[in-house]
Amino acid sequence: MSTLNQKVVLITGASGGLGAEMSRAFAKAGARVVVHYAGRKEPADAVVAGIGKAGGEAFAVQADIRNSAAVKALFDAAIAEYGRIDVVVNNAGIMVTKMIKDFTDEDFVNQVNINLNGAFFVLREAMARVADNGSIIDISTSVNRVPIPTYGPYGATKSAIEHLTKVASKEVGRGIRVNAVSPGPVNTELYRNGKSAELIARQAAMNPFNRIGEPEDIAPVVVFLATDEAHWISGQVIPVNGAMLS
Amino acid sequence: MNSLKGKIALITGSARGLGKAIAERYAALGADIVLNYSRDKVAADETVSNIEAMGKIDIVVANAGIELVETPVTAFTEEQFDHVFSINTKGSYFTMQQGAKHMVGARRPPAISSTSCPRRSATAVSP
Repeated sequence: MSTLNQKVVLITGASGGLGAEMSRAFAKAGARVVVHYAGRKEPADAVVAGIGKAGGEAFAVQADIRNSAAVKALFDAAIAEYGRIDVVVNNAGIMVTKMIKDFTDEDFVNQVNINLNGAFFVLREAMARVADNGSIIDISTSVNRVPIPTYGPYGATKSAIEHLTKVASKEVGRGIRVNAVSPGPVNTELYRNGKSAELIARQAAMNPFNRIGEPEDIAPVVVFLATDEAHWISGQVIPVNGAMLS
Repeated sequence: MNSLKGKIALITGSARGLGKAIAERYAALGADIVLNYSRDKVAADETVSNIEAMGKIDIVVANAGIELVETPVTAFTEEQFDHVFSINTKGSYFTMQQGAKHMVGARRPPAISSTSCPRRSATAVSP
């Protein structure tokens, strides 16, 4: 029996892409899933319905994570429904890809507001409210390891999150582990948006498997980090990129 | 939970310690295990011919290694240096080489190399 059986997992940004797949994977492992979304209610409800149809348990909660009071209310709602939170996957984020010179003030504020401020609020709340021996997983990226044009601010927010992850792992106590997962390119709307087929093919050719990642390649690693078997991994940034870079 | 049923795993340095723990865990997950307790390339090749009899390897854990601690940089002899590198680096290299040779054609070949945590702080040992 999975050590995640009946554990409560909150996943932010779970109405699509990686968040939705992680929700399904956790539910399949027996966890009860809180599917957080910001604006995409129907897709979030569809994730919940899909989990229910597969015999699992989930419910959706709306919150704008740029607002710390809303983040607190999100955790309140999760605990009101399921009584506790064991795992938080800090996944919600946006990606604005422009050269630094083309970034407007608004672009930058939007990018930082969700990816840094929002993720920080979720991390801080998780550190306070996750049950003893729980697990917090921050979703990072691989584009902050190499300086790629147009990924400056996005990469910067994720580098910030990785540092917070490591410090959080030292501060939190109560047996809680805090780690980050750094996916390579993953075939989601966030990734595909604005990319030509040629660019995607070029990125696919950068690893020996000759394809970009799928959410199904990333989700099992996040699920593993939440299990008891991973209890001695903390403060780490785990890259999952099919040998694209190391 | 993931099963390793039907998989064959080679774990070097698996008579005791970390290697033994890995072997026991893999066995509990259903894998067939090839254990290794020797330290040199000749013995590694011998182990590999045992595996050839099984027909395939799915997982290789290049775990065998030694530590030479509390000997300061200034006191290391050439012999000690060669000894550490021979087992830890050369041994792991040829283990992984043999593993890679036997995994050609596998759809999802996992190969895991185990190394101990690199020291982040230097401890001075007074002479």
